[in-house]
Amino acid sequence: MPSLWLVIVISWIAQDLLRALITPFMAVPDMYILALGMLFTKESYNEVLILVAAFIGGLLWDARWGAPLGFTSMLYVGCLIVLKIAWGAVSHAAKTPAVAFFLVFSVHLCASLIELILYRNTVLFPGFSFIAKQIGALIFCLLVHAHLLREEMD
Amino acid sequence: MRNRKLAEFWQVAIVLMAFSMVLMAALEYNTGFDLKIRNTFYKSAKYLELPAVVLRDTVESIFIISKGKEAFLEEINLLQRENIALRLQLNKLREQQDEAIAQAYLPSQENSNALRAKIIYRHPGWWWRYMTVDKGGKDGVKRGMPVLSGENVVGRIFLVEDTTSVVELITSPDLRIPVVVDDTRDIGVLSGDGKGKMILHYMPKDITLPSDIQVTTAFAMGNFLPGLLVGTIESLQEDMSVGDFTTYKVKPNVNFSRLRRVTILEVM
Repeated sequence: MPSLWLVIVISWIAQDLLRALITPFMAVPDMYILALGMLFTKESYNEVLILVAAFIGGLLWDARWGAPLGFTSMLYVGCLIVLKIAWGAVSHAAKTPAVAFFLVFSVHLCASLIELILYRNTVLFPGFSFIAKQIGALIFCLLVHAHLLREEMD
Repeated sequence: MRNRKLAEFWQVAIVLMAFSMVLMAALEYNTGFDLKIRNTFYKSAKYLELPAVVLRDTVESIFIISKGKEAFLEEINLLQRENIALRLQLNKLREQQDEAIAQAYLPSQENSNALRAKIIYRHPGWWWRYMTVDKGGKDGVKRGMPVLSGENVVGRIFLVEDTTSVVELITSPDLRIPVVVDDTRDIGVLSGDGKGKMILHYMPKDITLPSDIQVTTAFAMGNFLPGLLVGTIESLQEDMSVGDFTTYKVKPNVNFSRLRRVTILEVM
């Protein structure tokens, strides 16, 4: 089981580096919140700690990439709250990596849409950047899902 | 225990959400404090992002080079077209200049008439011997008439058709003209060498003529007027000396490579 702090730091830095690399050509998937979401569904990590990490990570993201301070942190915390509710509604037997994958990706999609509506005003035609972001998020979720499955099998 | 954890989660979640909203409301976007925070954070984050930035710049520069190459090729193409257009314009201006010079140097003798003619053909095999002009018998051209470019002798009319005439050039070995050396007043005979130059025969051997001396037509021979410029002495040709006389190589005053129009002189 990977260390919580390690996942937090690596996923934030990975997202930041990817953003620095592909800006301004396309948006980057929120790997940070995807990683936190996947950890959240594991239930073996401290949920409050993940929540605080989401808040701090979001705040740093705002400070680095120009969104109003507090916006991304609110979005990330909001995502985890939604995930908590959704994951809580799933029966214990149905809590599989596949469901976790589906929920986390859905939450990411919703967060991206909110961001799009509030800041880019292109909800009617999301465009290549938005689609690329979702494809990136999907690939990331699949990789984490594969990792979780392997852990279960082992 | 589970309920306590859940309550703790919700308490923290609500506090964090509220704190985020307060932050957004309290810190105005792009104000001095806001920018200061961002700048401070950026200063530390930029070292972390350095590899990504370098990689992005490298990829961008590759694209820029590729785009730049296309732009260069397009510019070269454009410049080449412009160059051709300018060359055409230059040629036109040169022709006008030649025309103006020829008009200015038309012989002022009262007993002569000048007829302007355009060169329409030069056979590659007879390049230094003959050329065809667009004036003929119908225009009053007659065999033997001198042909000039400005005040310089080009040749004489050799063959006359109705609308065209063939000019025998001074560089032709078949054309012999009596000439006089300007400075010494020595009289000799000039003939072409068939290679773009002329040979001046029968010059006294005892006096060596310096180069760059003008040679002009000597006296009225047929239709030639005396005093028309023919060429300048270029060098002595000792190997062609005969007896007390020697020969010189003479360079024609006319630039045959750029000659487009000539003046046919009708001597009354």
